[in-house]
Amino acid sequence: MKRRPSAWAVATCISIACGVAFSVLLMSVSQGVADQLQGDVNVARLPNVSRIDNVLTLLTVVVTSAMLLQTAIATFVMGLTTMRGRRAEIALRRQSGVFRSRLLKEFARQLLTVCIIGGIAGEVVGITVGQGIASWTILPVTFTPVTVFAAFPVTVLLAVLATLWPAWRSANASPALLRRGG
Amino acid sequence: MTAIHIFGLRYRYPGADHDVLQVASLDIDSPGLTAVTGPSGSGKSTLVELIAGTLREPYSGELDVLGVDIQTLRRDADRQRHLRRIGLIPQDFGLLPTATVREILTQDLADADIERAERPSRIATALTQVGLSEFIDRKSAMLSGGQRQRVAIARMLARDVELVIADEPTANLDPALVAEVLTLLRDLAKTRAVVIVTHDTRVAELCDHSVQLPVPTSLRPLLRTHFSLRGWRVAAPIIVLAFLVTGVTAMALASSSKSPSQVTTTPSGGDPNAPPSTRGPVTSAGTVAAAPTLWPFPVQPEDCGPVDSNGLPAVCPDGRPNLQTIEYFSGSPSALLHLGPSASATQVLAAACSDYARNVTLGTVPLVTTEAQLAWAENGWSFSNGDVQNALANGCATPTAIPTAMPTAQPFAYCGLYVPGKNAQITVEGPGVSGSTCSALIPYLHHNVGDWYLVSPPPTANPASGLRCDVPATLVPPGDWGYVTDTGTFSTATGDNACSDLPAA
Repeated sequence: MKRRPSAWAVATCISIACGVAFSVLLMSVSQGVADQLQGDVNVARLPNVSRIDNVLTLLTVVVTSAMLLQTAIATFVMGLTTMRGRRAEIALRRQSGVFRSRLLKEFARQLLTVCIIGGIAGEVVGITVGQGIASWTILPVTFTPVTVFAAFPVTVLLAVLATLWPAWRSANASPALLRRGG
Repeated sequence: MTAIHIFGLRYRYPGADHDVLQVASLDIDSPGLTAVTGPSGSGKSTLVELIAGTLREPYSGELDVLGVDIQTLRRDADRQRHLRRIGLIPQDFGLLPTATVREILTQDLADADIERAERPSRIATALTQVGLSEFIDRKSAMLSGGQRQRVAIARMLARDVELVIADEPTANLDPALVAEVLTLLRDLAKTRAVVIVTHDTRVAELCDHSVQLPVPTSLRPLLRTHFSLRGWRVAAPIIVLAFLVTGVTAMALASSSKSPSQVTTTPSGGDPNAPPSTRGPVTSAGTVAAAPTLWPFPVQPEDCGPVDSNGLPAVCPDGRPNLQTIEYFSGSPSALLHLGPSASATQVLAAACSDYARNVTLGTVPLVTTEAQLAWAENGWSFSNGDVQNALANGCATPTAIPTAMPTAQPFAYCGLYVPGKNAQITVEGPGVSGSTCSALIPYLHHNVGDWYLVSPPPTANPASGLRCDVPATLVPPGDWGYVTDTGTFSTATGDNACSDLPAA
């Protein structure tokens, strides 16, 4: 069924784009700050260089993880909410005889499209804004493969899980109970 | 060919401690149009879902649909292939509101793995058959109730299912649309089995076969427990307080101004939604029956009725009285369900008695179908079911639509409550009813309540009581109680009831 992008698709796309963009941006800034600090430190005067390095690396990891977690939670909640709203549709289609595998494939295809569009948009926005920050502010920004591409697969994976898991559960439930909100 | 075979079927919802459905034996042949009726709580909708295979939870007993017991189908693909042979029209029509008719049908055919090239022709043919070709690109949310029902039927035609099951297909439709939808279902039933669940006896009478479901025996003690324990704990303090306040207020009012023989109702042209305290008292003439001594509830006939209007003209433009004189009794525990066709002023009647009724709701209210509503009823609340808007729009409350469809018959409604050890009164209302209505109604009453309340032998008629049929207390089974409500048609021309095909009492 060809339809215009529905509200859930637009909302999911924006959510993923924002999550990926913020992740890329903050991880790159965090990496830049860590690199800057490491460059500014007078190594000869430090009693234990590796310890400082570890702290800075830990800081980067914490910020990166926090951003990934934020993106993951937002995507997961969006996926769950979306699927909750589509349970009636699942019930009606199951009642008409659609196979579970076909239903899940459709949802996965729809979601992957949305995720990829949102993820690419997020990457573009994150890198663009990061470069702007590096050019126009004193904040250092370092783009590495990790800071740029870490958020994307995690976000997509969680979005797919958050959508397909409730869809699979709904497809297994009695259509009658689903229609009644059970 | 047997489309549905049931033997010893029992079902209970997951976590429930009682069966919601018990069917001893049932066979439905194909082709044909079969109506499944039954009182509230008999599990009609559950049966529909089980037959349609949309309730996956296990049941006990035999249920073969189109020769297949769905419980034996383990693989999802096998179950879904079986479901493709069955078409279910749920009460809400089962249409996605944001999708167009074309999208709905296309999706449906795609889900059933119909060849892509074949889909447009199937859709066009189905929509032509239901007369909706010009609405193909309209969203279902923008269609009327009757049109949505026809789209739902078009889905069945396009998929060419072998069995169609419709849950209350005529609910919420006006009489003209009911006839139209029934015609479509009849056409469907020429080549396949069509099963419709309905509470409307008139619809059931138009079907080839009719099956009545009894209330599962395990549900009766549950209802009583609900009232006696859970409901009572919550309601008792409120009821006591309400009685105290009401009693003191009533005594003060009675001693100050009001004569006991007066009947208070709303003046013509008044606001029917206004609270009782703001209404102007009007004295209405009419004969009031003596209070029955075996009906020891606090509200007596003098408190309510006869009434003739409630904010509507007392006389219709054609000179007929707006409402028939009706006697009825209510109190705690009891419930009055005013049933009648559209524009028969059932709700106006209820509103007229709102001075004493604890709660009268204007607007369409479903019949007593849930435990909660039954609990309200036990507390002496009143319900009504009808279409007050239609009555108001017509400017009079006399039924006009039904006689058009059934010229020789008059609509009637009856309602009542059986309580062990008490005499019960069945109130019959409607134009043209007379003292003989009760006796003509008896076979129908007996049939309708036979499985549930076992009123046997049938209640005796009491023509002298006018519109009230008395049911002696001895005919109510000990420990059992319940409602009798229904609508039907009564032919005043022949003196025979319209349910001649029902078994004699």
